Amino acid sequence: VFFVGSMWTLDVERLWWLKAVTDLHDILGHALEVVAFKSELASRLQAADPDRARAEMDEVQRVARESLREVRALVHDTRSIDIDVSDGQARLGVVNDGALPGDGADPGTGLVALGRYLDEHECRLDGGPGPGGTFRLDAVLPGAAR
Amino acid sequence: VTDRSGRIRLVLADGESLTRGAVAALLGLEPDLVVVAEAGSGDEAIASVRRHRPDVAVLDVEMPGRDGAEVAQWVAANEPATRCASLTRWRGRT
Repeated sequence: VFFVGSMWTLDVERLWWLKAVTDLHDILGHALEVVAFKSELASRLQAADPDRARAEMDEVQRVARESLREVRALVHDTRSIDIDVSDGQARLGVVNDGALPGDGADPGTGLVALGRYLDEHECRLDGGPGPGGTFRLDAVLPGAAR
Repeated sequence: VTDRSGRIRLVLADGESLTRGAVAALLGLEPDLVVVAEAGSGDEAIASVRRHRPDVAVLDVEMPGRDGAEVAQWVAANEPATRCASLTRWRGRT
């Protein structure tokens, strides 16, 4: 049972990294493509249309900075997920960087549905406001359930 | 298969507007090419090909709506005088 649980949770971890790598590839792929085309364009326009060339290089700079910001955000997101595998169960913890206080009148449907789904699979979801206005979610996935 | 001044007429379809704008400008710098229309989706690409009947449709492989392969099939069936060229950002991935 422990072995099966470990295999499954390892897969969760691997899928998570695969997703992060794919996101990184998409962000950088798109940015570098635009940078490559626009800098080639700027270089070819330099003599004939220097104003347009400068505008294209400004755009290159903007795209590069924007993608740098996206990569930083991605790394930050990736770091804020804890995966702990022990005693035949996996625990995933996610903390966001801040949530507006809810009024309690409308709890929404997303977390309720996720909690119900995990219940049905003999897993457990806990969550709530954390320190500093953050919001924390913990999912416990017992390997024995598989 | 050219316009009156002897240039090859292109329709360029790419879902990413920044890339599309830059590629269109680069193609437009070539003296023997003219980009007659730009399209941001597969459906727009088909509409542009139908309207302009270009010599070549340059099609991004990944586009919202119909993708490059589907547009190329439509062009082959409906506008056989237009040749298709594929544009893809992921070398070796598709």
